[in-house]
This record gives sequence, C-alpha cells and structure tokens, in this order.
Amino acid sequence: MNMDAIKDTYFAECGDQLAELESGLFDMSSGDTDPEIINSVFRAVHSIKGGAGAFALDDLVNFAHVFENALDVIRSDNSQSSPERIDLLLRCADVLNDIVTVARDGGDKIDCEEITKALENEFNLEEEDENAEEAVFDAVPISLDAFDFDDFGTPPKAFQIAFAPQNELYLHGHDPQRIFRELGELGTCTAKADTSKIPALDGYDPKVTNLSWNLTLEADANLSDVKAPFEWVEDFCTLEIEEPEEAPLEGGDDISDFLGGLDAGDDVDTSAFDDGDSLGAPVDVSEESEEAAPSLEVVETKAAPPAEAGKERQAASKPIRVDSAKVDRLINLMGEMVISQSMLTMQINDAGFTSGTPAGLALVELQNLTRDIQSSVMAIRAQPIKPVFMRMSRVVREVASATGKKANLVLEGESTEVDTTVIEGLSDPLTHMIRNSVDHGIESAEKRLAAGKPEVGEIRLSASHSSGSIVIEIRDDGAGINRPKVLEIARKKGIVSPDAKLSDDEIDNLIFAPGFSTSDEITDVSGRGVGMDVVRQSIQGLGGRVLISSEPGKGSHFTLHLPLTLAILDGMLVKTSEQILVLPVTSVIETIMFNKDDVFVIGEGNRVLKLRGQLVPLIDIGNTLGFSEKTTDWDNATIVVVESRKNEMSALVVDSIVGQQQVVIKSMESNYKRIPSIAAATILGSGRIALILDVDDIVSRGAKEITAQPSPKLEKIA
Amino acid sequence: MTTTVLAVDDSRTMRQMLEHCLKGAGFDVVLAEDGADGLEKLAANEPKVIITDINMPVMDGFEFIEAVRGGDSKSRLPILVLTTESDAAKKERARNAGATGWIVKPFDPEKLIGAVKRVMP
Repeated sequence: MNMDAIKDTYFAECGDQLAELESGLFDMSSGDTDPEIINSVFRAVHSIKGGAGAFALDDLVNFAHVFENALDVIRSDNSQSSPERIDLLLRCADVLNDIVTVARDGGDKIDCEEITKALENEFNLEEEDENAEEAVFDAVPISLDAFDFDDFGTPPKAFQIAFAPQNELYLHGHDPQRIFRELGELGTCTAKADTSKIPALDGYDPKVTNLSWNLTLEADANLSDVKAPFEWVEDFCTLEIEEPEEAPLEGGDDISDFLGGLDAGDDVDTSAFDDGDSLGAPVDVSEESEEAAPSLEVVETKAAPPAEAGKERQAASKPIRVDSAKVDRLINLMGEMVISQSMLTMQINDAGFTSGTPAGLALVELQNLTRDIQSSVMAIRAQPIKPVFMRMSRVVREVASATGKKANLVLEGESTEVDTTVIEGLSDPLTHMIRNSVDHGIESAEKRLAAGKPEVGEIRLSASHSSGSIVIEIRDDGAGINRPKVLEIARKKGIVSPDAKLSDDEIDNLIFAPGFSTSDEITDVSGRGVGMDVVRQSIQGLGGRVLISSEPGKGSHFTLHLPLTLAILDGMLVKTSEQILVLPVTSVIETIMFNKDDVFVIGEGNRVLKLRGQLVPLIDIGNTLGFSEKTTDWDNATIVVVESRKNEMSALVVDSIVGQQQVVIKSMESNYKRIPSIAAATILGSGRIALILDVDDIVSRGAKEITAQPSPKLEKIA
Repeated sequence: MTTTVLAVDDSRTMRQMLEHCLKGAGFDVVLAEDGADGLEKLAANEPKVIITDINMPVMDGFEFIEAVRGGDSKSRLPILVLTTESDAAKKERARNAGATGWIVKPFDPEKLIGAVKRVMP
C-alpha cells in the first residue's frame, strides 16, 4: 500500500466524518443534548484533522484545529451551547467540507479567515502562538540525531544518574532495561544495581519495588538528551542526573568491572544484578504478584465490565464496507434467479404437478425462499435517506443567506431506507426543489410578518414508505404558487394557448413545463435556466413521479413517489392480442368481468365504464399500443381497473389475466429507446420478453381523450 | 522473530498509516478499530507493544488502557497513546489509566518507530 492509496482512504473517510459532523450538529440544532452526539461531532473533526496533519494539508489542519477547540467548549460544558453557536458551527462544517473538497480535487484556496475569526470570538478562543503549537506537536522527545550518533570527535562526558523506580513504573508497562538501552545509544552506559534495600525473604513483599540503579553514561550529549529516555517515567521514579564537570571523568570501567558491567546497548538481563533470583527482576516480581496477591483480583473484576459492555455494544451492529459493484452483481444474479424460478414454475405446472404434490410443495418453498432472499438483498442496497436530507440543510442555509431570507429546515423520517441508486439520483432534483422553496416559496421576513406568519419560514422535508413506494414530501409555508403570474408567463411563452381554461391544479403543474421559470430575473440561486422540468425528468428517470399542490398564501407541497427498488417489480401478467403485458400490482385496483350494461360511449366512440356510479375511461390496451385493430366484441374480455399516482382511474380491457409474479425490470431506454406508455420490459419464465406498462401515462392519455370532447354526451353502446 | 504491534484507532486512514509505517519498519501489525475490538485482538494475538488512539467510539482509549492494565498476563505490555490531543490533562488522564508513553499526531513515521523501539522489549 502506498501513500496515495492511504490518502484515498483518508478522503473517503472524510466524507463519512463530514456526514457524521453535519448530522450531529443538525441533531444538536434540534435541541438534542445527548453527550454522545457532541462527542461524535468532536471525533469527526478530530479525525479529519489527524489525517490532514499526516498529509501536510495545513489549511485543513488549521481550520479543523480551531473548529475542534470551539467544539470542545460545548463538549466540556453543554450549557455553552446556543442556537446561534450551533448555527455558526453548521456554517463551519460547510467550510470544512469545502476545504476537504479543495484538498482532494484541487481548486482555489478557501478563504476561511473571517469564519475562523468569528469562531474565535464567539467561543473566546485565544489565538494560538504558532510556536507554541509547534512545541506541542514536537512532544515526542526522541532525538533522531541521537540514534545516528557516531561522531565521537569531541571527548565524551560522563553523567552520573541515580535512578530508583517506583511500583508505578512497572505498572505502566515500563522496563528499566529499555531505558538503559536507550541511554546506551547515546554513548557508553554502565549500571550498578543497588540491592541494599531488598529485604530478607521473610519480610519480602513482591508488590514493592526495592531495586535501584546508579548509572554512568559517557556520551557527548547535553542534559536534555540524557533526560529524554526518562521522560515517560519521570513521575514514577526518583531521578537524579549529575552533569559532568568540564573534564570527562574516567572510571566507568571501574564500576563495570566491579559489578560485571552492563552495556545498555545489549540485551539486558536484570537477573545479572543479583543471584539470578526473581527478587531482582522487577517484571517477574510484578507478574508473580498477580498470582500471589488476591487483592489484585479486585482490579481485574473492576476492569472487566467495560470490556464486556464494549463487546456487546460492538456486536449490536457492525457495518462492513462492500464494493457496490459486488452488490450490483448480487442483484443481477438474483434477478436471473427470479427468472429461472418462474421458468421452473412453468415447467412444473405444465408437467401437471399441482400445489399439493411434493414437487409443488418444494416449488412453493423455493418461491418463499426466493422472495426472502430478494428482500434481504434489496436491504443491502437500501440506505437511510438521511445523508441526502442532511445536505439539504446546507442548501437551505446557503440560499437563505444569499437571498436574505430566514428559513428553517425540518426533517422527518430521515431514517427511511431507500435503494442506493434512488438516493444517488435524488440529490440533484431535491437540491433544486429545496432551493426553489427557499428562493421562490418562502417570502422575505417583512412580508411574512405583514401576512401574520412567523418571521422564519419553515420547509418540511419528509420521507416515508407507502404501499410499495417511497414518498418524499417537501412542504413550505411560503406564498404558494402565484397562479395568475404562472398562467401569464405560460401564455407569454406559448406553453398554453391564450384562451385555454385551466384548473388550479393544471396551472400549478405548468411549472414543470419545459422552459418555464417563474423568476423575473435569473437569480444566483435557483435560476441558471434549469427548471422544474429537469427535476421532473430526473424523478421520472428514477421511475418516480412528482406532484404539486399549492394554496395561495399558505405554501406549496411537492410529493415525490419513488419506487422502493429499481430492479424488481411485483407484476400482474395480462394477455391481449396474443401479447403478454405486465402491470405493476401496486397500481391495480380490481379486476372485473366485462359487462356490456356498464359501458357507455361518450362523444366520438370514447368508451367509459360505469363503476359504482363513477365513470372511468375504458381503454383497449391492445389497440392503444397498436397490437390490434379496435375490437367491438368484448364479450369475453376482462377489465383491469388501474389507478395512477395522481389517483386517476382507468379501466383497461384485456383478453385475460395470466397470473401474478415478480419480474426483473430491464430498462427500455438503455436497451432500446423510450416508448410511450411502456415503463420497461422484462423476461418471462418462458424466455419471452414482455413489456411493463406505464400506468400513469396510459391513464393520463385516457383522461385526455375524454376531456378533449367539447360536450360529452353519454350513450349506451350498441 | 518479528515483533508484533497492536494498533488501535477508529480512523481507517490512521490504521492504514500505522500499518504502512510499522510494516515498513519490519514489525508485524494487528489492527483494531476501537477499544473493545482492541481487547479481542489482544486476546487473540501476542503483541509486544500496543499503540492506541484516545478518542474512539464504543470503547475509548482510556477505558481500553484500564482494561488492559486490569487484565491477565498481558497487563504489563507497553501502551503508547497516539492522539492529536495536545492538552496536558488528556495526557495525564492517559497516564493515570496506565499508558506507557504518548505520541502526538500528526506523527512523523520516524518518531513513531522511534517511540515503539523505545518501549519494545
């Protein structure tokens, strides 16, 4: 692994940390005071800073450092938190995000001087002396020069060191041998063990350290070099270092001769200092003491709970990272499995095995399993929509600040899980819609106050599951769609004819028309010539629909319906003109047998079905799609009543219903081209291709045919 | 025989970095992503030196050090604290928990190796 690869990991991790940061701050801004939230926020900035330092990303380190200090103020004392401060922290998160982006992709240096100052003022952070900071980061006192020490040009000096470790020293994992070894790297070190304090065996307490050393170090080093190896043990020992006089002392040899000598550069065996008994070996003593002294068991039991608790918490949920290509492959394979299963079902049924036979039972088992596997695999791809929602809070902040408006984003159902592909495709249209809501929907603070509304506008973004689809709603409490203005613009731009009479709903929907923009001037925020038509296309591209409703003075309400998954559909298979077609089960209301008495003709041969007192357009689907000439003999036909996402119904006439099964969606656009009224295609168990109908499109066509009649007149069919 | 170092850090970047530096210096490396994971890895391996971050989810560095020190025969292993924390109080707390030494991030690979060599057996 090279540094570039580690850097990639770093930036990927930054993405996670930034999401964590923003999500935590957002929770804090909604009043959540759980200390774990500020901890995770702090950790996020802290980790970003840590990695940035390693890659010498100085801008990032500097800003993260101030940011971290500010967060630490709240972390240490939650009463220091206030809405204004959290708002500032949220803006800092945006800036941090930008700095990370520049560090990763390059680009102009982000100017963060102003916000840094604001942070320092708001949180009373003292501007740090750069040198002081430097000193802090240089806290590891290992002199690299000392390791390379081989210049004995100047005569060595002899330091006298009296070193008496305390129990604590061993308890902290230190070992005098290692200190001697390090001293030995400075020059020649000899050590004399002082065993005089070791008591006789009957008074011996294995938990008490009695051994100390007198060392002589001959080295051309200064006092701080000699002190360095003791840095971590200073508080756990008595240490006296006597600096040499000008002239180097000789006599180390004597000491070493006297006690057998110890060159600290070699492997040190402390038993050499006495008879080899464990008495003199501190490490052994302390290890033995654990077995010997029952009091230590108390320590063990005390320490056990955090370890176990930690394990438990960890076992609860531990995400793993998987290459999305692997998941995609799994999804594809599962799709193929669904197809194979339906082929098998067909073969087994054709062979005459009914559901009561062993083969039939095994098949049912297989179907259940396939369904379970499918939902499990889909769950892998599903992610909470939260990260996308979190990004919207930044959008609201930025647009509000750019337009001088005041707006608050309220999130609901952000833990709703949505297919990854849908999430990816949702970010752009959602951003655009939220921008529009702030820019065009929410009024200025003055206007709002004048209208008796709260000064701060509210945008409510919610996600939920509803009968096999994801529903995302954006509600604002702004001015609502200005219908006269929309109509005027649409007429001016030739989107509608000057004399067309449109319902409120139709006027509202004009904002989705290509090339429509209600803004008088193209603003920085939502203009740029990209309108709601692009939003609608994006949503449709995800297999979804976008609806609007609006109330003047009260606000607008956008509803996005998105499929749970883009890969599999529960389909009803119907037959018409020898073609098998698939209808999404979610859009089927009921199936009824054709009854002539319920069918009427309106105007020029348009048929409608009278269904419980309501007239529903009747569509001969085989004819509409061009499979057959319009047929009048519907005596043996079946009617499938379907409903669009706009809650409009149509009655589709088909020859028969074939069955119900899951189908794997194969895109028409990517394999062929878009065909009106067709949503996608699939491969059936027989290997045959079947088209999946776009119910919404079919229903809206049926409705148009009927409403296009100037004065509909109901007639009984012949 | 190669010396094994157990490195505990919640940041993937840091883990990769530690692994890169330590392996480059000839150490065997066992990685763990928080204190709890660290204790598991400690039980399953024979590290001679432990390096740990302080700020971690699930089980932080303080708890981890205390758990190691209160544990079995591996309780005397040298533990180096690796953290960007620069204030003295944190260092003091780590030391009270039983840390052997500390390395302040961002670490210089040579300093890291130097610190490990300083405490390794």
